[in-house]
Amino acid sequence: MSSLQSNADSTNSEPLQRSNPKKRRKIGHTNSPTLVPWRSDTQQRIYSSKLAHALRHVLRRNHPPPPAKSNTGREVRETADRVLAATAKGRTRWSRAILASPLNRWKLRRMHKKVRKAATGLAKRSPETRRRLPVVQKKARVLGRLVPGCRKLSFPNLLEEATDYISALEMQVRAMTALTELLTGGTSHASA
Amino acid sequence: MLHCLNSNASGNGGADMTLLQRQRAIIKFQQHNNNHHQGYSSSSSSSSSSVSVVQVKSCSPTCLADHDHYSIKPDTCAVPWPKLDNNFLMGFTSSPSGFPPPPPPPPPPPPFDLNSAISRTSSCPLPSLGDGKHTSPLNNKRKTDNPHNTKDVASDNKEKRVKVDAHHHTPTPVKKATQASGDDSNKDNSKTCQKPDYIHVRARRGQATDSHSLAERVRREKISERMKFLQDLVPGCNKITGKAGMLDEIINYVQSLQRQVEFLSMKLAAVNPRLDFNIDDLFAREVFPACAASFPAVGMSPDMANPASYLHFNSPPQIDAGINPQDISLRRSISAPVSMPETFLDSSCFTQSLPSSTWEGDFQNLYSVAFDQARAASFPSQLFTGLLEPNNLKMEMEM
Repeated sequence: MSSLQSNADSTNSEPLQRSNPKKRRKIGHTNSPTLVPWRSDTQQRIYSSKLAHALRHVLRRNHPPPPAKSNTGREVRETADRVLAATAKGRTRWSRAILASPLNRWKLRRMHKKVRKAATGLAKRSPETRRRLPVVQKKARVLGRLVPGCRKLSFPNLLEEATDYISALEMQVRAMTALTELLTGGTSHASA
Repeated sequence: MLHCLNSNASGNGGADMTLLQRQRAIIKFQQHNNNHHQGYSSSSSSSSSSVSVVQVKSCSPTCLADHDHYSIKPDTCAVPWPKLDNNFLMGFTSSPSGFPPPPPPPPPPPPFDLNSAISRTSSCPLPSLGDGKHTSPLNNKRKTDNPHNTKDVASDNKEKRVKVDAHHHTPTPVKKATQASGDDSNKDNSKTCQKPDYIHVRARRGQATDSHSLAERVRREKISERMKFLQDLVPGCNKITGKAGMLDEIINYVQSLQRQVEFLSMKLAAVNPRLDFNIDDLFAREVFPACAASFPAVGMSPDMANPASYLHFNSPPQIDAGINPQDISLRRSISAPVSMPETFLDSSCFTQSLPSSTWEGDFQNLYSVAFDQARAASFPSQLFTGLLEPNNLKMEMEM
């Protein structure tokens, strides 16, 4: 873990390194876990406060809930993700991807899936061609699809982004759980 | 003049001679040179001797190990010495690293070529030593490694070699003069000093030294390092070895986390009507008892606003004096200097508020429990029951 600490000081140079030509190997490539300590309580509180503020706006907008569409859940989720990405301060690729494309990321995903299914249905696959993609690479591709903005990323960078993303998601789950429990706990007793 | 040095070497044993002794011997040798030689050679040697004296004395203890490697060689190569007294000294002064750049080299370049050549060929007799020291694999690898200067990965095996490599790289003003030798490592030395982005790698003992395999190895080590971090992060991955299984677990975990977030967001959306008027109060109560100064980024004003609303609630003495000591503790926590590091403040706030009342302690415990246990797939029901008490108090205070 000492290598993590040594990489922490090179975080500032990451944007610089990205501008360098790809031939150059980067010294002390930033290890994302040190960028934002997602496990610390303070980070969680920062996130919770920002989330609360953001959710207030969203829910006020949807307070007389339009009965036709029930997309409040999706909006909540998108705001939560965006607040998470904002808390990440844009140092990681997935946070930048979330912030850059707020327009119905999930809808686009569904469209992508439909297109892909249609395409693969037409192409004939013999059993030999399936073996061309080694198992690890297939899984790496799946992981790349899961982590936002990391589809065409090299394997080691993908693992880094995944590390940061996982710890960020864990913090998000913790914060949202606490928030819902506070709110639902309050509601149940106000009504009683 | 040579005899004194040789006798010193033979008297003490090449391996046993300490660096200082060696250096002293060399200084004596130089003094001998100064005394006996006149003209160009003596001037060069005197300049070199002055330089070498300065440099030798400033040798840091960390370099000693590597200097031992370097200084062992001249002891064994007793034969070429008679030709190379001055040249050897110049070579010796150029080898230690971390020194201020030596004075400009004397005009004739060929002695320097011979220098660098000698300092490398002097490593040849070493494998015959069979000391069992770690210098022999080092020198074995040095020869083959010169054409390869690729990335570096810090490891225990390579520590000394990294230092030696650094020794090679830092004295670039001297090395630039020796570039006529056309050594690959020299070119890479100048490259490294101009473009410090390159990481240097040395081949480990018993492994292929092909540049491709070196690069592959570094890449593999990077990947395995990151997989290790992921293994720590993802629960239940300790038993699984192998990239494919690990990736499976990671994918499952990310999917489960994303599903949890969706579920929670649905829940939050359903909570809707409550949010309009109550979120400020609830949030104040949630945030504030935990730690007042935990939002230094947000600024002091929201922190001041929250306690104001909170204390407002407390002024009507509806609740017993159990809450009042809590007030005092909270005021103490407000006045705590915000400049203190955040984590320290967290702990201090907790410790201050602990003795005050059970309400505070319960809520704090539940808060931390909520944070720690929320990772579980099933939201524990005890959280709900536990939260009933503080919620009762909250409702009381609202009235």
